[in-house]
Amino acid sequence: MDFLDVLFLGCAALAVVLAVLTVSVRNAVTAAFTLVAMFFPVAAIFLALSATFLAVIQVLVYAGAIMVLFTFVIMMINPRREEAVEPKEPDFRLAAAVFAALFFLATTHAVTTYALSDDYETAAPAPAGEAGASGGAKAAAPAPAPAAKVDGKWGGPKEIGEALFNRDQGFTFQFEAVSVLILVAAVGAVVLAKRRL
Amino acid sequence: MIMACAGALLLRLPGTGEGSLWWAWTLLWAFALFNVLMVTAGLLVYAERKVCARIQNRIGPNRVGPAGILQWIADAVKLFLKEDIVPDHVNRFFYIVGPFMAFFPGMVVFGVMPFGTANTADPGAAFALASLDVGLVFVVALTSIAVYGVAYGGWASNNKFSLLGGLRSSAQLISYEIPMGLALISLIMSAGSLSLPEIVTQQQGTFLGFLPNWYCFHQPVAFLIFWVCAFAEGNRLPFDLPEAEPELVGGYHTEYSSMKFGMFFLGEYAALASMAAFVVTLFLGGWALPYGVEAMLTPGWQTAAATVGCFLVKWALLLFVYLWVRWTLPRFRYDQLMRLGWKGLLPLALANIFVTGVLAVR
Amino acid sequence: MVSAMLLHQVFTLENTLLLAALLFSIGAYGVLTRRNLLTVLMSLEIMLNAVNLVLVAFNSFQWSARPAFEIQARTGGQVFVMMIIAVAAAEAAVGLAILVTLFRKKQSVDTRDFQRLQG
Repeated sequence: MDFLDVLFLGCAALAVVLAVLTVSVRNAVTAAFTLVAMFFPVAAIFLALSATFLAVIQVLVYAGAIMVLFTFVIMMINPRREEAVEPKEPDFRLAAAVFAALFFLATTHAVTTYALSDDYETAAPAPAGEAGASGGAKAAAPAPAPAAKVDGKWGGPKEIGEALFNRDQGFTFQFEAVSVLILVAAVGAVVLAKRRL
Repeated sequence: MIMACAGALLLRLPGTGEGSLWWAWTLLWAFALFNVLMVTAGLLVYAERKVCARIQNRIGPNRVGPAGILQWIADAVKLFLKEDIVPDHVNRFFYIVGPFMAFFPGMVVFGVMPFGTANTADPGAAFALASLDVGLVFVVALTSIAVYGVAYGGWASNNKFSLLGGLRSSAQLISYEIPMGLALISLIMSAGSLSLPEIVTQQQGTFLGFLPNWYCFHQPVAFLIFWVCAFAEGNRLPFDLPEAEPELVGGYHTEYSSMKFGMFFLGEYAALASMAAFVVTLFLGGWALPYGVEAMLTPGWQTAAATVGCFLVKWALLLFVYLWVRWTLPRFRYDQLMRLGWKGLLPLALANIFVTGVLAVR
Repeated sequence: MVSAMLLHQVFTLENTLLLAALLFSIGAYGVLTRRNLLTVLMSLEIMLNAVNLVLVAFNSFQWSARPAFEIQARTGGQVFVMMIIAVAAAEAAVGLAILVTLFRKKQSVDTRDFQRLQG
């Protein structure tokens, strides 16, 4: 266990706890607060994965723009009535919980069974018995993944920009498509929310 | 404090390889910066009172210490000794967390600010807690988080005036963030970098033969927009509607007292100081000495002293202009404020990006 | 047990994926069970964030160590995340605008009040 491992464990625990709080607290303002707080450990994990630019963008867009919008709307409409309402029928909640748990278990199975750390083209399902016997994600990976390079240069703005705007194989079209989408969304939001145009 | 240290540790992650004691150094640096900033904020309060007094033809604080220079300590002690009232009707958790959220971003921004260098040719030699290659976006991200302190503080007070005050000022902050970001985009287009030390290094030398090579001369419109927005973001006059006492019953901090009010107050001054440092770094050359003075200095402590001094002088002058403006201009009305932001600055910033794109792209 | 854990490397691709799966499940549970439209939208953001985490994790663990590939392949995952974040911003803007319109109609953000399309 080195520094990054400790960081990952702490951030993961924090993120999970805050996410659980977000979906479980009654008050929408508290939920917004815990969600904002959840974005920070996730951004820290991005940072540890040496995606520096994305970590900052995560804080800037999610915490700084999207959640500000949420907070603003919540405070503006101030839905106090919600706190008195009792939650949905217990059997439905149980079904949802079962669904979520099943999804998680399926993903866990997939992650632990297939040797992701190897070259994915040649990855074959590991013998199921072995993965079960040795128990858990750790043992199923034959060789530990090469640790992410933490020199701060990998996910920097330069690399992302090069990939994004490369003349031949870049994502220029997709970029433009997304920008048109955002423009449409902005205009649409104004049209929807404004009382009189 | 603890949060600031944790933030500093995270910022320095890219430097993990520098040796086993890097975290101790980081904590020491963070602690020193924190204290410097607190003292700066305190001195700023004192300077504000003095400048205000001068402009209004008064003397200002002159009892505590020589020329009243210790007045800010007395103010702080007074705030701390006052009774800390938590009204019954507030939401306790957010009422207490609010001031901290307002206080935190202004502090952490300083972690990426390059305030000097030992070698003017090498951006890597800049004195900064963390030389992030995304430093500029980092600062913008933290500034955009400062809204929460205001919004939650106002909401938690559970008082319609505070709620309206909080909403009003968060609307103001959101509105002025947009032209601010767009002004920064045109700056980024001419700088070609998001790293603050890199941007400062580019601003050495001369522009057009006689001007210092600062980005405020390359991008005058962006500089103007950014600076106006910096006033609005810092809740300074002429944009200080969040705390317009006479006509709007204060604002988000109406229900706050004692140390929690002090946190809002100090946080505002810390944000002001860091915003001014940001303007200096981006548009006024940061530590870059004008007219090639750096060539006369030997790299090492001479350069270090000169550049740090240069940064401090620019910073102090800019802060003085802030105070000067505050005590000279009247306050905007709220609809005028919104109209200026959305119908004045936003189109101007967009046009500026367009012009920059045509003229300056390399 | 604890000492064995201490020896292992915890920060691996598998564990990051597991974290993302956990966050996604939590978000899905929130979307399914909450009645407040605002909280439903927030749970949706959690799910989007989990997906982002998956993409960054794959990109960082699998591709950053392969300088032989061209830059698009190596940072493609991060570019996808940027796109997702942009789309999430658009989604939040439109979603909140719809929510405000609905609130104007019914003075409520409870999902049960919006069942008129249900037969």
